[in-house]
Amino acid sequence: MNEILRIENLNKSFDGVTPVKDVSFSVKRQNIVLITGENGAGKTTLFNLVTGLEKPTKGKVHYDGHEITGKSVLEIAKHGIIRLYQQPRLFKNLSVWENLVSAAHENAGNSFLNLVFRNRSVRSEDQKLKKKAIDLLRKFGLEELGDQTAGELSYGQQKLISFCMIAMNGTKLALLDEPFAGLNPQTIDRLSDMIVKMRDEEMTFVIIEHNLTRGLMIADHHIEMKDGRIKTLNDLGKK
Amino acid sequence: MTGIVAQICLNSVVAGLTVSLVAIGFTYIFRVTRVFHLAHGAVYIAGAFSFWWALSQSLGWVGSAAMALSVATILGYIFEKTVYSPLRRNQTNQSISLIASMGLYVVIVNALALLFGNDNKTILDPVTGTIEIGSIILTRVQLIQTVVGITTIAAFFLYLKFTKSNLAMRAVSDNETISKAYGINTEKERTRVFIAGSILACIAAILRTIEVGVDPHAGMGITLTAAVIAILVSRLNALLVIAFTIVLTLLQNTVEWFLDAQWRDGITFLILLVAILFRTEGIISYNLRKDRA
Repeated sequence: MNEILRIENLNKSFDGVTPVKDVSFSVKRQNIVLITGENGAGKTTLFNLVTGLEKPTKGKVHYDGHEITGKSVLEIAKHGIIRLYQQPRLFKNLSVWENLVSAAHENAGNSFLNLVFRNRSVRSEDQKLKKKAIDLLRKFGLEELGDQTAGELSYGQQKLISFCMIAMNGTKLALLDEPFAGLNPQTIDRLSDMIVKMRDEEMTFVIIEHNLTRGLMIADHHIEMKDGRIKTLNDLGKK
Repeated sequence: MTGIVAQICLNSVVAGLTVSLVAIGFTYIFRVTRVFHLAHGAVYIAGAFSFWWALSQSLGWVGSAAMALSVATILGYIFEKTVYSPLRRNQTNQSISLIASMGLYVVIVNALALLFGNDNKTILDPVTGTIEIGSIILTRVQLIQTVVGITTIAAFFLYLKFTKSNLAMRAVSDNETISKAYGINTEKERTRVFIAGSILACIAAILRTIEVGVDPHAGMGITLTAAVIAILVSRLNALLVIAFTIVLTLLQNTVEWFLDAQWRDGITFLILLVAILFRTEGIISYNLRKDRA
């Protein structure tokens, strides 16, 4: 199945306000979908509904053929969906290296017996995780940051590391909330390259971004929202 | 004078090792779950009473220790699952969980006082005998406390070194929301830390009971010392907790020797006050970029 995310007639109402109204669209695997719109257009609420932070009043969310409407944040995360906020969210007291391994934590064999006896499969899983972390940092030119405490890094570096974390986590679908905000042009270039590389390998992205020029440079589809509804939906013809 | 100083140092290291078992548990619970777990004192005292009662029923040292460990572990688990976890799900703030914890402590201590009375209970067949090293005297109880204390701490370190739980606990301690987003089972880590903390507190309780016995109110003093350590050491680092506990016990014993026993808690809280006045994040903490911390 080529479709990874399908949203059907999604609605959200509270206190007499309806920030999301009858939103329907689907996202194909290994695509980048850009969502734009003015403040209050319903973009962030839409992300909250997909990631389980809020429950929809009406409508359904399907991920990878399964309905995930109303599931908890943890359940949805375990399906392979992750959301990155404008501010990078890392474990600031852990080293970069530890951040990457933590991001992949539950992907490794972690039963109580495995924890206590550390059998061969767990040791081999550890080796694989370490190799994956090294390869990732090297691939994105960040290997020199490995031993640094994440909280000591600059804003841009933290953002780049948070992208390595989602790659490490085995994420299939990443929802990015203004990934380019507050970054200098060089870091935006690096981040754009990372997103495109990750898309080409296995990942799908849905991005909210106010920097339209930058967003359109990497996006495969563009959705414009207004007053909680989809105003336009364009295939940018790259794929 | 040199002999007295050496004796105070030895006594402090031995007592510090025992207290550090409670402090490690309290610190890990506090840093991972954000619960200021004053009911840790109730777990401690329930473990001590279980041990004393089982021993008085002729269950033997091993059987009594096993029973005490079971009671303390189950109690810690019940506290987390029936009180703290529902409070967290309802998104109550930390002060509510603190009051709930205080309530749990009072209920358990009063129940024990009702069952066994308020007087100090000592074990029927105490360990006696001393070993003299020059002018220093090491009692056999102290020897047991040292050996068991070091073995327990070593086991805890091995658990941290050879399992993924250490990194998961540190991640949850750092940021529970991000941990969930990356699929770390924060509930499981919380349960693990409550169980581990309860086991450590119970071992400390047994070690203290064989030396001085137990009364229902004996848990609060040691828990408050552990709480002070948890505030001073804002890193999730068991080695730092042990070092701080031994230094604090040394200070307490020195003050007790040269002034009076009633100054023990006074010096503990004076240190806490001075420390948090100058470093609100604790004496040992992380150096983060000021704009991002």
